[in-house]
Amino acid sequence: MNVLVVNAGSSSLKYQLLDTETRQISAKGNCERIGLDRGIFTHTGRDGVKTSEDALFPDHRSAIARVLSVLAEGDYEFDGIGHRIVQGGWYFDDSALVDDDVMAKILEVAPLAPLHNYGEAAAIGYCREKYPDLPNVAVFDTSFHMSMPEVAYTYALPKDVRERYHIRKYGAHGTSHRYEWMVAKEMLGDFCHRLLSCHLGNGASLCAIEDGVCRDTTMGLTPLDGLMMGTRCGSIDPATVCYLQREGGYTYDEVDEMMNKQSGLLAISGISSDARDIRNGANQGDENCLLAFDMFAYKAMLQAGAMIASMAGVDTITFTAGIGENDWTIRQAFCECFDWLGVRIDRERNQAAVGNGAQVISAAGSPVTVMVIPTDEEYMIALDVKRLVEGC
Amino acid sequence: MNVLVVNAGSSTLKYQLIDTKTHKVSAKGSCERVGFSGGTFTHTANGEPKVTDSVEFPDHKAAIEVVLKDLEAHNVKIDGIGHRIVQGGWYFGDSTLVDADILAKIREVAPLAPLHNNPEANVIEFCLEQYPELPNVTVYDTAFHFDMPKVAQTYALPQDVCEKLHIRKYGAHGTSYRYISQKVAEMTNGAAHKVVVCHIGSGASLCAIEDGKCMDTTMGLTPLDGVMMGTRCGSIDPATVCYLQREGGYTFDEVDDMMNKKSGLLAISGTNDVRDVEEGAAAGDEGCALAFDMFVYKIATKVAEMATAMCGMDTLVFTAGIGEHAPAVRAGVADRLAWMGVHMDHAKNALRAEGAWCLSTPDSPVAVYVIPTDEEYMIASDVERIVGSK
Repeated sequence: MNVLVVNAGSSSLKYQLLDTETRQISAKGNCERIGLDRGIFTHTGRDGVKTSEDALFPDHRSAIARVLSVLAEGDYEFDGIGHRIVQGGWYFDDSALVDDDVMAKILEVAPLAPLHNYGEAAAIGYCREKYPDLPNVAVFDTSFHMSMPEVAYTYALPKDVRERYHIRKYGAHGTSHRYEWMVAKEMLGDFCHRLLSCHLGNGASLCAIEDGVCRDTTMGLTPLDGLMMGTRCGSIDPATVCYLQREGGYTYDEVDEMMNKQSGLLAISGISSDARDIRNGANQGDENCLLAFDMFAYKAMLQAGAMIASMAGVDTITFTAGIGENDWTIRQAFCECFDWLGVRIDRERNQAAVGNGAQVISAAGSPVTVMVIPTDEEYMIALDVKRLVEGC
Repeated sequence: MNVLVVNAGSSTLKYQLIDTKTHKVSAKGSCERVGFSGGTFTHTANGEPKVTDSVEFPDHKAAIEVVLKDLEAHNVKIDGIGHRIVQGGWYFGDSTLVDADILAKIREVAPLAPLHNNPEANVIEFCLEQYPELPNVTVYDTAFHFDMPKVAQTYALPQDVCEKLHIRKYGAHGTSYRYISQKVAEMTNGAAHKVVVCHIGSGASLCAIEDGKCMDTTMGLTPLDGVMMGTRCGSIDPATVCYLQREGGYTFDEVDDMMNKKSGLLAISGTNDVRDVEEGAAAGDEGCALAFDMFVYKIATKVAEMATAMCGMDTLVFTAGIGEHAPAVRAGVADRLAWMGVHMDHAKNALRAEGAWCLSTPDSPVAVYVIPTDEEYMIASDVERIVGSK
């Protein structure tokens, strides 16, 4: 099945046209700087040639319109459209074939992810108008985590407040964690029951998956919580938010912005949110860069301990996304701390495992299997479109 | 040495008179409802409590005045006073002999613990005025955590903001952890190296102690963070505060109050007392069952975090009100951690022994203990150590 996968971010819209049988990508591209001036449109067609041109995208509708018209001009055909939706809120525990009711619910839960759900809904709305006969499937970053036990997702806040504002742990990166489970299970079969999935990118989260079911995850009500990230602080004492307003005179919007955009690796390294820049700095002995990496690894390890406890043990650990796939030093530090739980990393395999697809990096005989599995959320979304449209 | 140990809470003042040689508590008592009308003064000497109702304590100075006068009336000899201070902030990695500079610093760090440090400083001031010849020693709840590794104490917020407003992980219950750490070393003859201590009372935190040093702890900038508590929510997504302000129209003070006083066990079950939660759960109340399960789950996952801070754990200790007296909580936590070598002997766990005891099976990879904490004794021995060394 030929599926168009659309991933609308807060100010970008990426797309891929892929075949679920062959996994061939016949076209892909990106609309950047939506809602801003000096937009950019990049497109790579079946000839593999990448073009880039200036564009103006006042909103997400104009971005998806451009994508659809370019695909029509190039005679690209597709049988369905899959949309990545950041927040499925309290409604969606699986991907959903879009109808009016689904659209209304995506908008209803939008206050939980105001920068994302509105733009995504606008993109879906345009697709439905333009191609009323094509099925649209919404794939939610949160739906995988809806299977979490109540002890893991409940916040110990007053019940009336929780219910009125739908406060709970929703998590994120669910499509990626689901992909990690699918591939690990395919490769390891019966040896894989308790998987710790480490999605370490610019956004980062861990997920405890027991026999395909999410037991716990590190992101919370929003994608701020949990690990330290490129520009996000991750878990800190929530009273810090009150303290910053009381003692620092900040507004809550300023604190929110500070925690989401000016913190994390950027704040500690003082130079960049990009792990590659910080690795360079650390290699040159920059103390702030070294601390940034040590903190990143430390916080990931600590919360991995909690995730493993949520499923009472671990037999498989997977690493994915930018840092998880490329930074072998963090993988090594992480794995060596878990020697006491039976994690034995093969240092050479680990160092060699950059850009070589899914592979095992633990030593032969290691009680816990450690793998690098490059994530592919687009493929997972396309598979969901096929599953829901073809009913299989 | 005869030490008066003073513990000034936000609306109480407790005291104990301890002989550091014999460990004997010769007198103790408390002033309740400080800052409110209709206070109660309780004084217990030789095991006989004497309760005086309708005592007015307009502030903490009034409370300590009543205590000191009462002790004087009983002709009690005091060689030094030890004060528990909740927050030592960015200054104190150890207990200190009080002088004007120390007092000023306690007040300077007070914004980190506004309900506690100022009343405590007022109490010290009064003691200095009334008994200028007596040494006063301040013992900080945060001091034990002062030198925890940078990766554990640093918040990944803009560093200029952290420096200006002194934001870091400070932790709490440090005096209790110091006491437990010494006791564990005594009880195991130094065999314990990687110790996780669960100080579980109505306030609750965990600490990773490797060879006597704090490696990490669960409370943060304030005592809100970490595990779920009687009325505190513990760790939740910090963006929840912004969300509640944006979507719910709450002020930050209201959210702070909600997270500290209306959350935790109370919010899930309707009661903040874990005994009532246990009873309710046994009687089939769903809220109580969830509250109990969450409480145990959050402690168990934090034990695993603290163990990871040391890349392993050989000893697990329970202490404080719930840790010492709630076998069901201990069993729930231990059973969730069996996979990492915590094997509990449930018959031993059900004991209600005096003092400390071991509750793990003989071949358990991780030794499990209950050790009653004694922060007052620790404070008294700090007074002796610091006054004696001068």
